[in-house]
Amino acid sequence: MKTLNIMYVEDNTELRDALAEMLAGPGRAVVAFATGEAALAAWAAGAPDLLVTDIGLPGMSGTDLTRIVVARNPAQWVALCSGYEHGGHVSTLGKNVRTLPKPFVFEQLQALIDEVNDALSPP
Amino acid sequence: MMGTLRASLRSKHLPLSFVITPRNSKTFHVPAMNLSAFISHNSDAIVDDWEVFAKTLLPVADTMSSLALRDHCREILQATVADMQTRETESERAAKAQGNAPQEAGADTAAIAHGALRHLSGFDLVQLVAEFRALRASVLALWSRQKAVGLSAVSPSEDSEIEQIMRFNEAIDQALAASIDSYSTAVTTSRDMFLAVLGHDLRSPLQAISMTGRLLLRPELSGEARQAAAMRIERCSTTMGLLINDLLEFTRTRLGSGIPLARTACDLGTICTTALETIRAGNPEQSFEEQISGDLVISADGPRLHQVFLNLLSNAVQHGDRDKPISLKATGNAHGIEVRVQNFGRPIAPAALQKIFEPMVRATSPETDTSELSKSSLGLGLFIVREIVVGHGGSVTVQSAQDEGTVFTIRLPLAHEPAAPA
Repeated sequence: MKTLNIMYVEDNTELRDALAEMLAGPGRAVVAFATGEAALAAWAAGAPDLLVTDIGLPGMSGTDLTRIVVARNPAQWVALCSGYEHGGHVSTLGKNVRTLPKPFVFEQLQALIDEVNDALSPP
Repeated sequence: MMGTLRASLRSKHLPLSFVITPRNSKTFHVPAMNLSAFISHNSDAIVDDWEVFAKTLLPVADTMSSLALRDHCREILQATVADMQTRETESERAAKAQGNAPQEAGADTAAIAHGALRHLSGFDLVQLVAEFRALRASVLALWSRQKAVGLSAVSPSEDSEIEQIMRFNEAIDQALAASIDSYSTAVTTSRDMFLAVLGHDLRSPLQAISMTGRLLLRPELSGEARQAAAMRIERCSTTMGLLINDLLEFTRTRLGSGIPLARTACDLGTICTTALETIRAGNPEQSFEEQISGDLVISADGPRLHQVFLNLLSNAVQHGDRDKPISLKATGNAHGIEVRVQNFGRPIAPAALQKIFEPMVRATSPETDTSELSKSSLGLGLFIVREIVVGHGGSVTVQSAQDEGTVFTIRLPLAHEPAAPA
């Protein structure tokens, strides 16, 4: 089984540590960043299979980050985490951009990871 | 009648008017003047009248200088006059042809700005409407007083008084509608921002607790990892608890009741130490210095002051350099008690320093980039600090510099005077 590379962007230290710990496991590799700028630099060096980012970040917002990476790679999988209802607004960002409510339960993220795994694994 | 007569040719649209200055009396411009001319010539007297009323409205008005208030009122009056003159021209036009002349744009600018700024100063909608009612009443009262003494006769060629008053009312209504509209927009914007930031500040630790709880269910987790997870849950709960307390207090002050204080004899030294221990427990990697001296027994609301020091210390942890100690210094003498909370790190910009005690939701102006603000915290903590300290008859100040770091100083009087209604 191929390892799924996940990039996680969250400015709250506690949450970043907690989710990074939760995500780490067999079949998954996680790198976490506190800012959109740092994540973008890392993305440019090597894009992950899935980018999970908070929307409200200091400096570059998660939405801005998503716009930039999707512009460069329209097939990039992205999960935007927000306490806000964004409605249809997110679907215009890219075909593989999804939202996760905040707080989400791990199953919701797991379901998205499964979807990405299915989409990426050859039929 | 003693007075001076002076011809005025301020506007080619206006009839010749004269300034009559009775001794010991305000200057009124009469006669043969229509209402719009009357307003523009007597705007000082109208603004005076209106300002007296605006000041009775509420204490929040003190956040805006008298000068700024007068400027707004004057601008709104000018816009009203311009609007009335447009309507006059339109009615002439309409007499010839039943066309619908487009409304001049731009006349509402002052009213729009006024609405947004009134939201900023904490006015409610009722107070905003009352201001316009007062403006209308001032103008009409002054005008009718002139009529009563027979100084201002309407020339036969002019519109009837009723028509002029109707035009004035329409213009004021339009300004009021514009003000209310911008006020509502400001309310929506700040509510959205409030929710967005609340989402961030409250949901992040909640999410962390939820994830950590799930992590603890893993049987393979080491004892050390379990320990770390439990501490994370505790820290996040403290963060959320502080925020919820602040939200409750904020809502209380918003509802106008102020923060209720229950005074008992309490030792401020103990309160400081307890708060410091709470913050220390949540931030084991941060070093703290504590210095407590003198008589610190005071008649005060202990739990509220505890909240004050929790907020100040958690603010220091949040903004200070991790590798420099945060210091808490409390001293008491015959005059009162002084507590200083100091952290090192990047100094706060002077502009931000001025607004630091304002809750972010109030410090929103139309020019502010909302995306920028939504990234900061709610900023309720320091607002609550100030409310509680001022409620105790004390003061809180802040200084920030590269070398001395950021220092919040709280001064509390020993013998408290009942706080004057703010």
